[in-house]
Amino acid sequence: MKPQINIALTTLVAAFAVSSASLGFAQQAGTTDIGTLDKESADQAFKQRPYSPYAGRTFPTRPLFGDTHLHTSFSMDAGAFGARLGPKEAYRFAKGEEVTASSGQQAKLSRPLDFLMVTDHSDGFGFFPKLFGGDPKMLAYPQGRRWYDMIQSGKGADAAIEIVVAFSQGKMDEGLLPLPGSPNYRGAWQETIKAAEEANDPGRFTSFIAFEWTSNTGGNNLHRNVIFRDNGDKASRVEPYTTQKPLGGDNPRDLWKWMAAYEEKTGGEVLAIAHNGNLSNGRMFPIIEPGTGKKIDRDYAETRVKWERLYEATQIKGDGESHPFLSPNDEFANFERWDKGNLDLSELKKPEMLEFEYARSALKNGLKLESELGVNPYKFGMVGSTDSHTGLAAVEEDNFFGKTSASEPSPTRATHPFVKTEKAVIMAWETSASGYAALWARENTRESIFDAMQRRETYATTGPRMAVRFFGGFDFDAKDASNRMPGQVGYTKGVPMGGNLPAAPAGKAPTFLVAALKDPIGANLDRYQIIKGWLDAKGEVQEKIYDVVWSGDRKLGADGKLPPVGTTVDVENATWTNTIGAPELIAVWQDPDFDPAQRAFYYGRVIEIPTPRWTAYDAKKFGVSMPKDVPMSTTERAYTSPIWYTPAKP
Amino acid sequence: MHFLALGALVFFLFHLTTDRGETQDGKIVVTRGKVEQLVTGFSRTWQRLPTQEELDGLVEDSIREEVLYREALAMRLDKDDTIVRRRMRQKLEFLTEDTAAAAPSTDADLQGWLDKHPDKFRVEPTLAFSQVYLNATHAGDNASAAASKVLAQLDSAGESVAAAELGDTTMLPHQFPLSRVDEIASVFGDEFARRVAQLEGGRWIGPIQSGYGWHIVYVSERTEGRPKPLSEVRDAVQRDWLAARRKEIIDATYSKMREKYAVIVEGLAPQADARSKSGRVANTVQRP
Repeated sequence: MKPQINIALTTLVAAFAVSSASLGFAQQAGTTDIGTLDKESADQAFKQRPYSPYAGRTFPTRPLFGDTHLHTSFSMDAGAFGARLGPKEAYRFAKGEEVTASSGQQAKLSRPLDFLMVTDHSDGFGFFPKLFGGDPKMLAYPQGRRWYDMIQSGKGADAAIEIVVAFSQGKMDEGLLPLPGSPNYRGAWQETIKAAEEANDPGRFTSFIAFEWTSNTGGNNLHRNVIFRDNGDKASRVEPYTTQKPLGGDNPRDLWKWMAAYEEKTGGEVLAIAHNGNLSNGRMFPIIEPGTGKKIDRDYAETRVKWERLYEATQIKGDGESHPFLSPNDEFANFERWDKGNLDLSELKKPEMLEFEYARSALKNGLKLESELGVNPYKFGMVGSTDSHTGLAAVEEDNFFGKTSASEPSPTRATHPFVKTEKAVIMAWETSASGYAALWARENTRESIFDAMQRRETYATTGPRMAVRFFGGFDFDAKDASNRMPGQVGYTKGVPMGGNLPAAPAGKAPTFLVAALKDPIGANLDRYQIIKGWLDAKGEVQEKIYDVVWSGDRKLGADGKLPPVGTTVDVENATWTNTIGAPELIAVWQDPDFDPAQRAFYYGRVIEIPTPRWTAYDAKKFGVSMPKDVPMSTTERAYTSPIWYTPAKP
Repeated sequence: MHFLALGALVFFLFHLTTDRGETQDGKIVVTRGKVEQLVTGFSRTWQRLPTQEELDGLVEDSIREEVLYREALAMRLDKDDTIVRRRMRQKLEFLTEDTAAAAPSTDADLQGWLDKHPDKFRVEPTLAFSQVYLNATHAGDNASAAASKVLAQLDSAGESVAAAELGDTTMLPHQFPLSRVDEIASVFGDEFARRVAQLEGGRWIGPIQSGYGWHIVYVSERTEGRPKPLSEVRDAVQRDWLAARRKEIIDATYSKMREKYAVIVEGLAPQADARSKSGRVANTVQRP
């Protein structure tokens, strides 16, 4: 019975779509060859949900967690710091297998990730010819035959040495030499693609083909990760964009040109995710375009927002959500702060740079630029990732394998300098065990995950795997907070994180359905906040933080602040207990200060109760004591992609 | 498209004739092959041919690189450079690794591997269940009492009870469709998943603890795991087998290379007996 109903529905829908297109939108009815479809029946057909609440679900029901930014031994700098693990090992680790880290210790994640992008630096992708592909044509050559026989008779090591020597001395038979485009030709890019294709396991684990464009002129970080929606057949038709002239460049505009050329020629899809605005010394989210002295123009804004739908707001090299200087009223803004200077500390930070470096400030300036240019260049969703250079996406506080293989767990790893110049020092203990990207995709496949990233239905976490929902609309009410399936009511009555609110009905203010579920093996939650940014009547950007729902029976103080949740952290033993906080938070909130004439964005921030920081775990495990100024406790958090409100045109 | 074939042909010739021959003292030859290589590289990056100006720039840059490279070598700048050393090690290991692929696996190899590691390639068991949730803070120390109450309700009502209406409100799903244990663990945590995997089906059992609180669980359906035949998992077995072979070959090749050297570590006696099977020196080094 059921399949027949589905077919009938589909036919009705298809027929309606066809007829309404030809008759025009204003029509209320369309006649097809299976009858007349009037508005009432159409409404009925579209709204009809299966009786069983679990059947026919097309919206995502559990978040997927992954790392959108990981380096392996294929990256020059990772190899230089001792990374021995290549993409293959990186995928195995992400899938939950135990591997031997570059430092020789065993490593394993607490549980597998759902997806991984290996984003080795596009510069320094050398060319390593492949010697043998098991190609029978090679056996036709005496050399090939000789080596094959040696290998077959257990003398593989001898054969390997001979092959290596022959190749390096140019004494290989011509036919054995690999040609570009042939199956035996092997560049590091081809190897990267091959590793990604082999690791991809649709439905279970998704790998992506990706690389990092590491624009770093003058030490100022403008890095982007470029991620392909496509498989190897398209990606292998292109070479990654590098930063070395003349073939490459360091201007994001040129990267966007490269991306456009790729899509046009192959029909594929790519997107770019920037990170570490905090190390760009004011260049990441400019109003004045760096190097030109001129204000960014509409073309820049359109192009940027087209290609850069997401921003990596938290990672090992510091948190990028906001800064105490920019948000003096935000008691959670001083978190894993890296604000001494640029990436190589060749230039120190000046306070006026900060505005153009942090996500919240950029989102705000984006509203202003939208009112001036007609397009918001900084309309991005948020993710976290590691940027680890060890091949290990390992950023749990009790399982942190460091930024480089030189800082894998050891008694002294926290107390070495990470970057040191005559201008400043960043110590290794300042590196943050953060973060992961979480997203709401319908399936664990390349297409589904990429599409979730494109529509910005993502959130950043600093490591834990909380499930976070954030829906906006004009019709949520308190009852929706008691609904056991917030996803269902959220998608039906509103838009998810990353979306746009429709025009405000007269007299109504936006309402938000927020929900968060703690990491099943993690800490309880302290609170769920909504952070609002808006462009006021004077054309100035503003921000305000609202505590929406929290654990326990705390009450807002006279100053409007919510008292802290307290702490159960025992630093000496590196433990905590879930005797404070709550495992779930859910609420509906309405903006009490809404002005329908003012552009705005809202995003969710979920904060856990305090837990031991990786430095406390190191101190306990190795029996060492950390210097006084080393933080030993942390409050993990998640940042959702915003939902934007745009006033209706007059 | 003929251009690409031409490019490949010229590249092939380039390899034959000039691969190691261009470094003649004082003379830098930018061969046709090299130029074609630059053009190919550009085209693959930008999806179009370079203009004359762009090509001139590429050629000029390659000359600059060659000059500086030779000068750097002459100044022995490659010595004692950590990055250069590690890169060369990596390059050699890449080359060595490839010989593993030279001896392709036989069916016997793969079947042997599958037999030795059956658990890696099984179809995993799955189970479906319903659960009623009790908030730990709600129930407090009376978790058992609260759970018993709910159990009694569930037992009397039977399978038709709207389990979703009982217990405390939660966003955790009340019905979990047929899923592997790792899928259940990703939502409820490892311990809960493992316990539920072992529960007797067909009746409400609890309380079972998770990181969220307590649950009364009803396992409604199960499928058994089964081993997969080689024909179904050939690619995965092949990859696994190859990975192990690669490691073997790298270790064996290194051992052979190592044999050519007498190693002295200052402060220690000569290394003849200190070597382990793989040729690695013991990690602790005594310094006087």
